[in-house]
Amino acid sequence: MTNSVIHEQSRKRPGSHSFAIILVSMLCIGWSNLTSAAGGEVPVDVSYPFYPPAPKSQTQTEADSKSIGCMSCHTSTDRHTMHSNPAVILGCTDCHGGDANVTWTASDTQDHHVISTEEKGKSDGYANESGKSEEKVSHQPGHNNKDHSKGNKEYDAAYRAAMDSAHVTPTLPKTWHYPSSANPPHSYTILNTESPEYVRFVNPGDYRIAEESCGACHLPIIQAAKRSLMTTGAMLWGGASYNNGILPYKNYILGEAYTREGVGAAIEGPPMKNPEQLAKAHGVLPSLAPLPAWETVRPGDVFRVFERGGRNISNLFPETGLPNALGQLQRLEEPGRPDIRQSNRGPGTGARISVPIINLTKTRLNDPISWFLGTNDNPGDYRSSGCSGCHVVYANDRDPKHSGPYAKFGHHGVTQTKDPTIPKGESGHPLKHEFTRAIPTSQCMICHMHQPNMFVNTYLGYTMWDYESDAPHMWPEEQQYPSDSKIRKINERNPEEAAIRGKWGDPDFLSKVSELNPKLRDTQFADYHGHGWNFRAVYKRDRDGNLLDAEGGQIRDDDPEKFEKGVHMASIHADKGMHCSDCHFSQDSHGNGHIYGEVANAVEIDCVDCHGTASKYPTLTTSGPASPSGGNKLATLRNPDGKLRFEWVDGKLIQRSLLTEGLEWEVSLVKDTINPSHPQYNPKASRAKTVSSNTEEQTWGTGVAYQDRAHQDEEMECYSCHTSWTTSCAGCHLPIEANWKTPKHHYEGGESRNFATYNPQVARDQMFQLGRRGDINGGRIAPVRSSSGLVLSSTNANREKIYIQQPPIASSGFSSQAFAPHFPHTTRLTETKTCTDCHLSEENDNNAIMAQLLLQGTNFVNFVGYHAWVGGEKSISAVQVTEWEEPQAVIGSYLQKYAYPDWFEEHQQRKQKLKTEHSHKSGRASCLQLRGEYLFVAEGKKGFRAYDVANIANKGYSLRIVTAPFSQAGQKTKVKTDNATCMVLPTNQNIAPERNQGELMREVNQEQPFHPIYNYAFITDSESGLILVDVNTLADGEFRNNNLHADAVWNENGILNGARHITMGGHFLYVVADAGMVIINVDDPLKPTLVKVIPLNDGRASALQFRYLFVTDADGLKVIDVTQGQEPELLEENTISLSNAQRIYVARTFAYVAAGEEGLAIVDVKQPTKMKLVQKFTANGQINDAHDVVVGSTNASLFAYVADGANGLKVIQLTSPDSQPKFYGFSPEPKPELIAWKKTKSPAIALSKGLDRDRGVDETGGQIAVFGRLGSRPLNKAEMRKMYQNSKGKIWTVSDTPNNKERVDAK
Amino acid sequence: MQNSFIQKALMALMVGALSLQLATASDSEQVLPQYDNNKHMGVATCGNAICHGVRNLSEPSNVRQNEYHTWLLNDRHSQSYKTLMNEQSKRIAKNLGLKSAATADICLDCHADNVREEMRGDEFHITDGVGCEACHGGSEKWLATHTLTPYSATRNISDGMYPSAPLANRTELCTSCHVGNSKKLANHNIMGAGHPRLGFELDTFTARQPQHYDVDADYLERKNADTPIRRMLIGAALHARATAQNLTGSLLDHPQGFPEIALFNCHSCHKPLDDQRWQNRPTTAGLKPGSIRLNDGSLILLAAVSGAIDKAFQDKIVRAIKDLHVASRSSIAEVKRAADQVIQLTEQAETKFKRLTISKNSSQLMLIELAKFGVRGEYRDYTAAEQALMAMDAIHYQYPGNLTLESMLNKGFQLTKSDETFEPNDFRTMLSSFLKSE
Repeated sequence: MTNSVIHEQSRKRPGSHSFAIILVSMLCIGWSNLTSAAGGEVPVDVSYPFYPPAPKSQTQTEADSKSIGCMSCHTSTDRHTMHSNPAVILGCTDCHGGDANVTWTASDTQDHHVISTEEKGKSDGYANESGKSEEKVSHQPGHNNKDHSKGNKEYDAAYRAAMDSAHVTPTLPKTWHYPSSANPPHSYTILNTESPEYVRFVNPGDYRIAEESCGACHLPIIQAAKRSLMTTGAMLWGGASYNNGILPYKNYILGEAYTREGVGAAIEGPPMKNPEQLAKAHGVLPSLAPLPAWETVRPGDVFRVFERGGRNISNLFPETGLPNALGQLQRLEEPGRPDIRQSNRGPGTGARISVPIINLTKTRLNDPISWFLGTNDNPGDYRSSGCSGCHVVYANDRDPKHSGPYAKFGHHGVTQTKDPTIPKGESGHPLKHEFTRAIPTSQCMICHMHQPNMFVNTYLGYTMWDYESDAPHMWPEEQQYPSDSKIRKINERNPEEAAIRGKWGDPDFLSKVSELNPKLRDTQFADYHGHGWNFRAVYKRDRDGNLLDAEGGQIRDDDPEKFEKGVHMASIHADKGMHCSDCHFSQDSHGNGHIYGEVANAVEIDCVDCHGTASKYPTLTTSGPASPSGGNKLATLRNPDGKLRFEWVDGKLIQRSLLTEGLEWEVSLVKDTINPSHPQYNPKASRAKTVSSNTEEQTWGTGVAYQDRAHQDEEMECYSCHTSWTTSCAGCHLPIEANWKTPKHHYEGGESRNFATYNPQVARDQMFQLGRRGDINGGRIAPVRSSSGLVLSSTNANREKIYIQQPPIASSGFSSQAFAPHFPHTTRLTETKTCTDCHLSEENDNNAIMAQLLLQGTNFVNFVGYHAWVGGEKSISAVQVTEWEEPQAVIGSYLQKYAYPDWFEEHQQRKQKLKTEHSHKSGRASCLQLRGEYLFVAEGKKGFRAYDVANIANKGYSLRIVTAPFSQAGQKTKVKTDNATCMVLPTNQNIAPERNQGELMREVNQEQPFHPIYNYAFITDSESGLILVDVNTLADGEFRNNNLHADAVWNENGILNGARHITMGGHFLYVVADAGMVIINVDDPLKPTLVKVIPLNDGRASALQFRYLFVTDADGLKVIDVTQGQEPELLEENTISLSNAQRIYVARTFAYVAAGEEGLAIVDVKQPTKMKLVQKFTANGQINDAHDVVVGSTNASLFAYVADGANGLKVIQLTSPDSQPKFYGFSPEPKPELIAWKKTKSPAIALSKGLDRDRGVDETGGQIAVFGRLGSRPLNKAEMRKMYQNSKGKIWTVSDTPNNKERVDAK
Repeated sequence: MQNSFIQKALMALMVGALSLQLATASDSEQVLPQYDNNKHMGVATCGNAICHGVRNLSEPSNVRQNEYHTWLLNDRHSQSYKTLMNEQSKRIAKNLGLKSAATADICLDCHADNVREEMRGDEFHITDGVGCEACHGGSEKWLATHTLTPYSATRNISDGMYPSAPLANRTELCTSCHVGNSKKLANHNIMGAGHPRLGFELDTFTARQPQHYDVDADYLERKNADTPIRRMLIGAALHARATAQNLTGSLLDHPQGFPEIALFNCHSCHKPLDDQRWQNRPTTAGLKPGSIRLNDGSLILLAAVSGAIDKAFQDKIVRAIKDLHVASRSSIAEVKRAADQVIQLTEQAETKFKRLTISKNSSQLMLIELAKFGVRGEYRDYTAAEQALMAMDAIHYQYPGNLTLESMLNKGFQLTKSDETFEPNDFRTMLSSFLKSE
């Protein structure tokens, strides 16, 4: 039989294709082996014989015959069959394929298989597991460009020949560095491009061929695992496509699956009797389709460049979707239109489609899912794929809390195997040839490390580093000007743009980052660095940012042992020594065989399964959403050492560690903690679980009947309280750039000339927010996180910025500043959420906490961005305040000093004067707001206008702010009024209410409708009162319908005469007019009704935070209690006296008042009823005409932007690691420093507020931002009010200290 | 040897003579698992999710494959070690002067798979109690091969698997703890320290274990016929033999010159002094008031069921029991002799029972014999009543639907709920009215 015949057989062998995978017709290219691999290597033609599947059982003699030749070189190994159970009998080629009859007979194999003497030395050093020898590992394959093929030449020819005939050889030898056995660095999706035979040879556990090697015994679990979320990644594709307006399906339809040959495929769930019911009740999906080639996906973004019409720049935009080399089609376009359009076909062409998709296909953003190898680049990147991806352990992390017993083997992915042929000092090898169920958390971290959104980071007490803390250690002293090739090299490993300038772009530095910890002042780093990233530890702090010890005592900021004394907020479970696999057992890891789209639906374990409830001891039976009928019995689980994992001993529930032999702990039993006669009794816990829903009495204890309890198990998740902190990634910047020809890794592959890095912006750890889960998860109240709302930018081939920092709009029309209910995995015993975290405190000092909690926002993490938008007496201006490169440091800031020392120095040389301003003449621009690509301005006598500012950063565009983007016939973005004094948008986040209608949204996607106020801009006019203008047409992608006009004008009895400022809180308007504060209800927007008028002494402006409206008038700063359901009233004896108070901005517990000649007044409003002036900041008299102020966060620091009249714009750094060591607090006291200024075209009188990034819902329950997960949502009006008002509207308060007099015990 | 067995078994199947088939499969010389020479690899090596810890079987299998779950969650054997940690065991250990019941061999011998240290594999844990290998034998040599197809029981047994299917081997194994033998016994010291009374009946204990196998076509093909009545009958013979064997060996050499006290009927001494109920049974006719009676419950059951098969044989057993009781008043040597005689009869009984074809009718006859034997006054001792009741229950289990029997059994279990409050006359009345209604 010739080889080619055998080859044919192997291709056609029935059953070799994966079970339920259906080949999908692919548009182009065909299967990968015919094309070049990602690295450009042309496949070698290799004929493989048929390697039979591993048998279910055989005799030892049979098995030995399949190992004999192999063992002539691999003279010993760790576990021959990989399995610890001696019941398994396998030979080498049963799993790996290859020819076991080839035997090497030379007496001394050592001479032939050791790659080099250099390697040998390292190998000797490494084997003895000591820290010292580890230092001898001077390189990893990914780091120094070491040529693996070099070793090949040093093999003895005969030995090499024997090796080649015994081994299965790759079709891409260069890509694999054949014959090196190490997993290659930046491996990404190379498995898709290799032959299944070789894939099986290097990793028999890979899902492409696992049926052949593992299927005889494990078929059902392989089938389940291939459908599981860790393999399909459906939640990533689904969330990204829905939240960014790319696909309108909240029951996700995309996921990754490949055939045996590595071709992208659809995957189907198992046959179901009642798929509709399973979908509704459990979130089970029928099938997932592969992601279409990204060139063919319509852009979800309604940016100007994607609008129809206009001439296209044919020479700049090769049409990768529909090649059209001569640009013929482009010429058909009408002349006379601005040449900014992407292409004649509009959406989906010109290589400028939805940025999130290019990220998914070109970078390792969400990889590696189980289909792929770890990328083998950095500590935390080393692992195999498929079954072996979890069950074979690699050295990734030196912290025993993360790696358990494997910590001692370092974090460079080097092996401890007995096999003499495996190089011992080389990265990319498993620790041993051995399967284990003792999978350390560090192994999970390899994938579950995506910034702060995966809960392994939080579980271990870490979150994304923000580029600022301990900056001096992390940035080079000299500013970096990396070459293109260096940028490419670093971004191949780590598509975080800041890495090209930071020291951590160097893998050797990166791998030693945690060794800096003893020297650090601001934070402590984790020892894992998957994707090349850094993670900082979260410590217990109070709301002011003071570091606290376990007992709650303050630790001095300059205490050299502060981190030893502090409390690292890892989960209590991690502190006990638990790893992920100690809670997430077989089914949670492999899936239950169904396809899911949301992680929370696919989890079988629930807190109560091990901890029980206040009424019941645990049953040790899984009861989570994906638990099988009747549950899985945890009591049957056994650890690798054969011991039971759970056991009741003397009324105590003992759990034994899966990882660490001999380690066991007692599981806390909720029922015991509420029982006053039990040693585990805890009055705080007892009160929290049993407190009565009668808010007048607030009795608690076992005597409160279950149905009377406020916090019932069905109503809220355990972790709504049992959470010490939550991660919130308030924004990520994805700038797509042309001129970076890079491969597309997933599916068809190929290359295109663009790339997008991703850059986290503000990752905070003190934002605690609540919302509701969907019905599948019981509709319970759960913590909500901000989950990486994106802002997108695009730079074309001429490096023209054709759109910048634009937030997309979700498919539901809500803003893409996404939120999602989740389990933060930061459970702790002491540092839980307490009463005053969710209810009004007796001291009334948590107004900002409540605003944050209810998702109304705190104006703290707002995003000001590349430009600050300034309204002037006669002009509007965009002043560039940050760098464009990443990190986008504010010019003059602490971060700029370290990330761009040269430019910082130049800025100082310029006396801190900002360079760039783009302006346009206007009327008196006394109120303005940027939303998306439009700037909405109330400009006095000129009325209300929306300016097109889409090209504000486009150097190829001469007039960057335009009033007439098309012909006058095409649009009218101006509404004439007598004297437009101010305007407000119901949200400054991009929204498109018209998308949120119809059966798909309302029924299938379970979205709630927009409140009608979201259609309008609300304008005050000193003559005509209130004017409503529908501005939605600007966001619909159609340029011909933008004819704005007044939809309603209201000034009942002249009450709004002299109207000068407007603030909005849900459907209530707070208008400052001659009459005072005029409160108007616009629940029916076109028919406003007057609520109340509160007289002021020459009112100026207002700002709202939850229950309080802060108002300025001639007396200074005052407060109006606007608690809903109550009569609004001005608080007496609570005035901060200011001679010329103008606009106010309230960010968390501080109000910033633009106080004219007194500069910036900073007022402590933690207790809004007892305000305290902190300071009046004038920067030594430099701020003396303050009209307006806005505050926003950039990375870890807080900034204020002041419109300082004739002086122009002032930029103030409010906190920095240098000025305020408590900068990680919820609301650290500001330490203002003037860092930059720009005299604007005309005196600066107003500022546009930065994009709200923590506001998901308005004060009257109207949803603004998209919620991930079917059926989940922010709390509605009634639910919000229930947190602090009884049914009669009466306010009630709580204290964190339980009062024993309120305790009632069961009789 | 292997081949001839398979051929025989196949032939037997073909002629449908199931009852004849497996006499040969019994091997009474088999070493009990506790003393075998193979490593016990531990419960975890059996109970994994691919082998015997499967929750939902995805493909056909000749065994249930969820045996581990049955054992761990429903079978008391999995809790037997834990029992040694409870308060009662602590008290017993203290009374016996043991440091801990959980470490003492005399406790572990029955409460765990107490094999020698060197016979314990890496994943073996004594804390697993009476685990898989406590009954199936150390798996060192057969763990990897016992699933090889074609499946061969003979191969596995020769690799060291304990033949738990043949009822003789099985019963010997069960009774080694549930009755006791010369190597391990809940002796009177242990009982005196507070250990509860032991009881056993093969079928009832199999069902209540609960059974972790199905007697289906492939079981019958591989193993032996195994029905409740068959288990009850053969079990009765073997149980009786175990009882008698204890009266022939070292247990008779009690330091007090007396057979080990635990071999006597507890209630012959342990009763209130004002208990006026003493009355001889036909089989204890030679004993005087105040005599200490040997515990002959299992022998009485054997006699009772034998009546349905062979009256003459029944008489022989009755005589042998009488003889044994008489001997107990005489000398150790006499007891030994009388017990040997009982052993011979149990061997004959076993052979007879194995040959028996059981039908609904014959089982009805058995019921009546069992009842009659009680009406004769033979179940005055609690242990005998308990045995009889369990036997009748086995018959009912195999042929359900007899409502009179069912209600009698319910009542019987009420009456025997506690050995302390057992009223022999009530039990007898119950049997007598049952006989009338049948």
